[in-house]
This record gives sequence, C-alpha cells and structure tokens, in this order.
Amino acid sequence: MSQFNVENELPDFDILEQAAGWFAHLESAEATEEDHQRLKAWLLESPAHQRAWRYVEKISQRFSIIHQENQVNNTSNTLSKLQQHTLGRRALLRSLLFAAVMGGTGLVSWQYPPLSSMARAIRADYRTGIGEQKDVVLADGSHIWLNTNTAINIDYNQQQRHIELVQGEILIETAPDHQQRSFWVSSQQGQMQALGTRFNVYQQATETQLTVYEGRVAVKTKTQQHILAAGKQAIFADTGELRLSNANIQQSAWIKGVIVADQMTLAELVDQLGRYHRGHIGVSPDVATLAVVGSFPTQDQARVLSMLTASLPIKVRSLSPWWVSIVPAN
Amino acid sequence: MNHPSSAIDYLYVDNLSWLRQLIYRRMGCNELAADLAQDTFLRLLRKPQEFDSQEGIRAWLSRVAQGLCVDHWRHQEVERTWLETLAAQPEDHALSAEQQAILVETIYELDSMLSRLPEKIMRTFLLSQLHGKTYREISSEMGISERTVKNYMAKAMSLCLRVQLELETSQ
Repeated sequence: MSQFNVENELPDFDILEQAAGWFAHLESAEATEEDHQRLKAWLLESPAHQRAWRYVEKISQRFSIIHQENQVNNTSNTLSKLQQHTLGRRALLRSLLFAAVMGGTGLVSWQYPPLSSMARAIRADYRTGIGEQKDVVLADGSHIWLNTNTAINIDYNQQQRHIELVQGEILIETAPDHQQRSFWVSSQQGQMQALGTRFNVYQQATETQLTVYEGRVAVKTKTQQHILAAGKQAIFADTGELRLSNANIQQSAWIKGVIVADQMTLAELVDQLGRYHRGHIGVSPDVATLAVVGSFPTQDQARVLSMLTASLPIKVRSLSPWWVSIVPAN
Repeated sequence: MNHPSSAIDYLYVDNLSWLRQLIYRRMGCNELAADLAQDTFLRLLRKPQEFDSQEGIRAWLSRVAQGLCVDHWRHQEVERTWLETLAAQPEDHALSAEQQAILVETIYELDSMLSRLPEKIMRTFLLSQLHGKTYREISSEMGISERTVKNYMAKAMSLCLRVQLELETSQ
C-alpha cells in the first residue's frame, strides 16, 4: 500500500492520490473559490499533505518555465519528436530481437571484432619498477594488476590465453572468453588454469603463492595437481609439493596501496614493505617476532616506520635513507 | 562481507577501474567513463547499500552505471532534438546559454515523466498544462467526456508524482 513510504519524509501513496485529485479538480473550470479554501484546509491538516502538494507544484513548475520562456511550440515539437524516436527505437529493438532468434548469435557477435583479427596472436610485455603498480586490461577484457617489481609476458593465441609471471606479483580477474579459450598463468614452479575467476599469484624467491578469491583455479606442478576453490591458498616450490591453507584475504590489499597486517610479525611486515622500496631495512632479532596489526601504506616508508615506533617498543636508526635498522627501544 | 567505516573507500578502490572499463565499453569515451563511474559511486555515498558479496557489489554498480549511461544518452538526444527544432525555426530566438540549458533540462524531465503515461492520458495532460486548453476544449478535441478529462488529469498527475518521487529517492 504505502510503497513510497520507505522514509518518513516521503508522502504516502494515498496522500499522493488525494493531491492528484485536488490538482485535477482545481484545474477544471468548475473549481470555485470555496474549493481553494478547502484545499487550504486540507494542506493545514498535516505536513504530509503539504509535502505531497509541493511535489504537485514541482511538476507544474516545469510547465511554467516553458510558458515563461515562450517556448510552448518548440517544446511541443521537441516532445513529440522524442516520443516518436522512442517508438521507433522500440520497433527497432523488436526487429533485432527477432533477428537474434532467427540468426542465433547475431546479437552477441557484433560486440567483438571479427574472428580474423582475433586470430592474430597478441604478444605484449608489461613491467613495473620498485614501488610502481600497473593496471592492465587485456584484449578480452581480463584485468591484470601488476604489483611492485613485476614482469609478465602475455601470449594470446587461438587455443589459449597465457600469462607468464616472470617475477613479482599479479592479481587477475578473468573475463569470459567468447572463443572459450582456456586461461593459464605460469610461474617458475608450476601452471595454473583459471576456471572463471579472480586470483592472486606471487612469485617469491623459491616458491609461488597462489590465492583464489572467486571461482576456482587448477594448479599443476612437477609432481602434483589440485583444484583450488575460492578462499584457499597454495604455496608450491620447485619440488612440486603443494602446501594448502586458507586464503589470506588481505593478500590483495596491495592493489589499494596498503599492506594489511593481521597475524604478521614485524620481520614479515618489513619484508613486505621492502618490496616497494629500494634500500635496506634491517630488523634486530630481538624485535623481529613482535606482532603487528594494522594497515600500512606501501608507498610511504617513513610513515610506516613512525606508525611502528608509536605502537611498538622499538626505535628506528637511520644511517642513510637507504639503510635503516629497527632495534629495541632501550 | 563486513563493512567497517572505511568500507566505501575499499569498495571504491577495488571496483573503480573495473567500473570505468565497463562504462568505457558502453560509451567509448574515457573521460565520460570516468565521470559516470564517479557519479555511480556518488549514488552509493548518498544512499549507502548493504552488500553480501563482491558479486552483489558489482551487480549493483553495473545496474546503476547502466542507468546513468541511459540517462546520459537521453540527455544528449533531448538536447539534439531541441536544437534541431530551433534550427527549423526561421526567426531568431536569442535565448541565452543559461536559458537553453534550463529549457533542455526541463524538457528532459518532462519527457521522462510523460513517457511513462499511457498515450491518451499524456495528450490530455499536455493539452491542459502545456497548451493551456480548458477541460471542455480537450473534451471536444479528444472526443471524450469532461468527466473523463478530469479523470485523466488526476491519473496523469498521480503517475508524474510517482516518477518525481523515484527521481528524488534514486539520487
């Protein structure tokens, strides 16, 4: 009933109907001075009536603007042309839908370049420096974010879409492919096949870390195969052995420019931070295992260090901008 | 999905480039895509939503963005049609840029209201409000009783009020 009453200040449906009734009556020639008095009384009855009437006034105001500017004929012509266009568009849509039914995939295929141009293999290389990030959209609409110090090769051909992670870290969001080609990522330790999905691949010094956020990813190493569901993480080394765990959902926080520390030690955080900056941060073994919590900007090392000194019993010794040590406070 | 205080910031950073890309594919203009993506997030700020998944977020964003794209096209179409209409007039109108803008916006709003009305009701409403005809004149022109004219007028206003409310709550 009161479908517009989602918020208190909106007039109730019933009241809108009454206001519309008042409007229709007062516009007619039979409306008398008495009727105007009755409207006034109705408005005084409740603020809701007044609100409803303000909407009526808003609508008639539009016509007043046209009258003030003396544009009745032009407005009338414009409106009727617009209505004709709308009718024309509806007819066009009907015929397109009809063609789609008759022609099968007629509607779908126009969104994509013809097959001949897609058949050409696309080859491109992307690279980020230390502290740099990049957002790459591939020909099929798939999205790849490159984290700091990352390099990838892209090889799209008629059979498959293939990304080679040479170094660093990427977050991938695959788009459905109308040619239904498979989507592969290879690292130094194995191959991963996306099964419709969003996932993160991090090439570490001797291991690959794969985190799946949406869909599934099939992993194949030298010795093992496994299908990883969303919310899972796998780490695999040269030996081919897979270590499975629950995904660290904060792993992809890097695309927002932050490291989110949840169950991290100081040493781990500094390790992560080091990926974004040149130079060296040393952590004294006495404080290396202190737990850190919070989100830290990847691009602002000085700020992270001051955040850390504020919350932990540590101090920062800076020999040069390139050489920083974190040691116990006393 | 849990949404703490800065949830909207995360959601923004997480989805901005995806959304721009989506709109770009529809509109084919980078600047416009950036503007419309911004407007989409603005809607979210004005009217916070609860989402239970990333799919839910993207479904909402793409639905709102789609609406904004359609609005944009419609605005352009209204402006073009208005200018065509003026150009077809021999006399010089001497409307200022500001007056033009107000008129185009007003016609856009009228058109979006009127297009929801059944044809006869729309004609009745226009004859009365735009052309200033009396119920009696409308009655003879349309071949309907004066009572029906009044009825149509109430109906037209009632439908316009709903559109107006939708407009104000969606922004």
